[in-house]
Amino acid sequence: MEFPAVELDHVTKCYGTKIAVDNLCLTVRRGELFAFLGPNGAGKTTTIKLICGLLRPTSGTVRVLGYDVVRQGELARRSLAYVADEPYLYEKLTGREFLTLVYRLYGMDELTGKRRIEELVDLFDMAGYIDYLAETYSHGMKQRVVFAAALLRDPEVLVVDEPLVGLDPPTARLVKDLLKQRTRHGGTVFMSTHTLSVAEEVADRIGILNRGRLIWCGTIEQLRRERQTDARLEDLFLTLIAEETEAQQHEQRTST
Amino acid sequence: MSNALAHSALETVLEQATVDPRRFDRPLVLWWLRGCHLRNTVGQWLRESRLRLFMITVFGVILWLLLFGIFFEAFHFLEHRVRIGPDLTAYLFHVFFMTLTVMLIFSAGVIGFHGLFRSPETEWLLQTPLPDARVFIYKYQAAMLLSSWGFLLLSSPMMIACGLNKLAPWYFYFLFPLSLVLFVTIPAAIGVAGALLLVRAIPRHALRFGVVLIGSATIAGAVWAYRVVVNTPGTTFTPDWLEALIARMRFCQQPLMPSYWVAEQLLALLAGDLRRYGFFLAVVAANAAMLYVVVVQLAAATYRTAYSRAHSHQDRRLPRSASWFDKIVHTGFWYTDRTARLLFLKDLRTFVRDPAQWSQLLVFFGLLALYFVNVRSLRYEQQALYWRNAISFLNLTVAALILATFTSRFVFPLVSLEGKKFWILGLLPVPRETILWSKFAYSVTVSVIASELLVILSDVMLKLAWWMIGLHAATVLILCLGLSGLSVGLGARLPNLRESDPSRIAAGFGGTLNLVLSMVFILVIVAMMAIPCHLYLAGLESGRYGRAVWSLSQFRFWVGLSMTGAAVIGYLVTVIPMRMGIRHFERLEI
Repeated sequence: MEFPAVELDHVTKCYGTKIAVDNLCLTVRRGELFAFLGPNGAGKTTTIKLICGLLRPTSGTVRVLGYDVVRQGELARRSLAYVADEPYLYEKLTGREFLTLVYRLYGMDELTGKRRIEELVDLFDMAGYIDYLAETYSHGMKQRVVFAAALLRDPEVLVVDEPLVGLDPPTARLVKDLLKQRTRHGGTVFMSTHTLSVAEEVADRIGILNRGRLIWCGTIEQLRRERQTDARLEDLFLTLIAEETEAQQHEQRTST
Repeated sequence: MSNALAHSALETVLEQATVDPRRFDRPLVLWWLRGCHLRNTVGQWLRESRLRLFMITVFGVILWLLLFGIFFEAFHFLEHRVRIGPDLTAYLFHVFFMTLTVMLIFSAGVIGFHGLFRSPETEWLLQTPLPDARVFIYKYQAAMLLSSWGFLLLSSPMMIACGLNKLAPWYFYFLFPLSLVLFVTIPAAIGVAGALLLVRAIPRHALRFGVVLIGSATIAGAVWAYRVVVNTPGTTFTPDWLEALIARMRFCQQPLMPSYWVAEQLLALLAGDLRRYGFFLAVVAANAAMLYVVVVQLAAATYRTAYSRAHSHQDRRLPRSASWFDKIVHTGFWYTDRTARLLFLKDLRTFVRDPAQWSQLLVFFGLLALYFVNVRSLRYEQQALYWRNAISFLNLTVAALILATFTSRFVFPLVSLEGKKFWILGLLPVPRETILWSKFAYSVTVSVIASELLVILSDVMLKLAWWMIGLHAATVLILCLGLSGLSVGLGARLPNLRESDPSRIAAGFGGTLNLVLSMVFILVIVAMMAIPCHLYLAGLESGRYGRAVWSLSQFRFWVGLSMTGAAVIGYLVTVIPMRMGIRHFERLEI
């Protein structure tokens, strides 16, 4: 029996009286590149933090590869890598030392770890700066090191928040190719983004979140068929959000 | 139905596969991380900031020697001049370590709170498969080190001075650091565990509650200590009075307190009683180990939940405008540029909204005001003018030193805090010089109001003559101008635009240099003003028995000369750093 890569079962997350994620049910299959879309404040980052175990759901269950993130967090996190939109690096460590820290934290053997670092340094073209302190890096350079750190240990589930922000066009292209390549080899990518053209280009399925509720989930083709249009994802997304917001406002008016 | 069955089967399989937390534990990797960090930081200093390293070392050595001298003389005095029944050193050790325990608990609690719940590093570590307890221990160790390094460094001259005075055996000097290091683990564990439990219980208000708790405890402790001293029967500083005071403070020697264990340990070591030393060392070690186990268990059970709760509260909606507040600033600072006033409002709002920033200052100034208001209870005003003058200058010095911590902690980081937002300043339609002078004006205004009020209050309570009050007021004005000039000027000359934490900016090289120069400036100015007064009044005092050292005309001449000299130094200390700061600030690019 194969468990889904990510599974959110009736997950609700409240910040005080505010409901950030509202009864979210979502399954991301293995080998899938799932794009998670939504306007600002929709609850995307909260959902990602729930998946990574940084936040605990108010109710419901989050599973990664079948492991309950709350009860078996260490096992879940072992198979998961998270690339945040604001890359975190130790300022007083070099990029190479940071990558070394990562492979050691994940218990990889020294020989494999060092070999993987060399491969990734070549792949992301980091040889020019990898041995300098991270405090000297630009945002894009940091983002490349963080991507390398995530890929270093070949995680089964890769969670990325705005993966292309700050990357130059060649690296952005490389990252898109790598994400697609990972899914071809059985890996899973859960990607949150505002760049709808990227989602349209690489995603197998998309999920659209608005005010904490999942308002649509499926392939872009399914969405087009449902809407009987050939419109671009951007137009479909804006129409869906507008309709849903109006419906929610109407619901609020009638309930009060 | 089949889905439900599948999930049920899955639950069973996964329950059986409950992970052993030690499997992903990597304590050595975290030590390697610390080593790397330290090596790179020191290496960078040696390559790029040799002057900084040299100055830190020189100032550190000077400070150490100065403290050693003070402690040596103090212990020598106690040992050879004070003749009372109880051992005064033992009493001092107990009071010192009890006070220190409380301070370390609070200090580790505040640092631990930031490390455990606010640090981006923690968020990153919590994404890795490291056990929660391991991340907690890593942060606990950092909080322990940060809260106690100053104590460990500064207590070494005290211990050595005490050992030399008490003719301690040779092994005392090798073993006392072990006692101190073991001891600090206990208050640090209590402080960090307290922070964890506080966040677990009241995640939204934990910091505010902690700050209020620390502030209340400090004020209550100070009021209580003051009352104990004032209400001790007998004439102040006589042997009878001292003995009575020690008797009233007997509770500091409760055998169940960690401070008692470490004090007794060190006293036994001083006396060469290894058996007693070993016993108390074992007591401290056993309790430290037990607390460690308790804290680890607590962290394993609650840390991630507490972390989640700390990041799950709804942000407070702030009022759209505080027009009355803005009006006060615009009216009160009418003499500065409007754009600069708006910038000041921005700085002021940032400051007011972070209670961790202003609470310590409020506590210090509050305590000082409390002391000055009650100065008559100590019957100082009944003393001779010679003594009142000495006390008034001591009061002035304390107020100035607190002012220096204010300017170093809050004024110095103002330019650095602009950081990535520096472009806003760069694009403003006002000369950059105006921005710095306006920051200077605000610093001077706030400093003058607070310090003059305190010092004049103290002088009035001491029933000093009007000319002495005037002299002190002028001294305070010079100090406020100089300290503001130093802090604003050096803050602009040595900004740290990468750092967003004001306490780290203040603790950096620029902040430390500013603090040291501020202290030197205070000592020079106070000495210049105090010495002529002291000589004149000492002469008057001795004149009762013989002849005066200085006549009134001589005193007037010397005090006038000192006043002029202080004004010139004050002017230079204000203008030179400001010029340096303005020059650098105008060229600054980001």
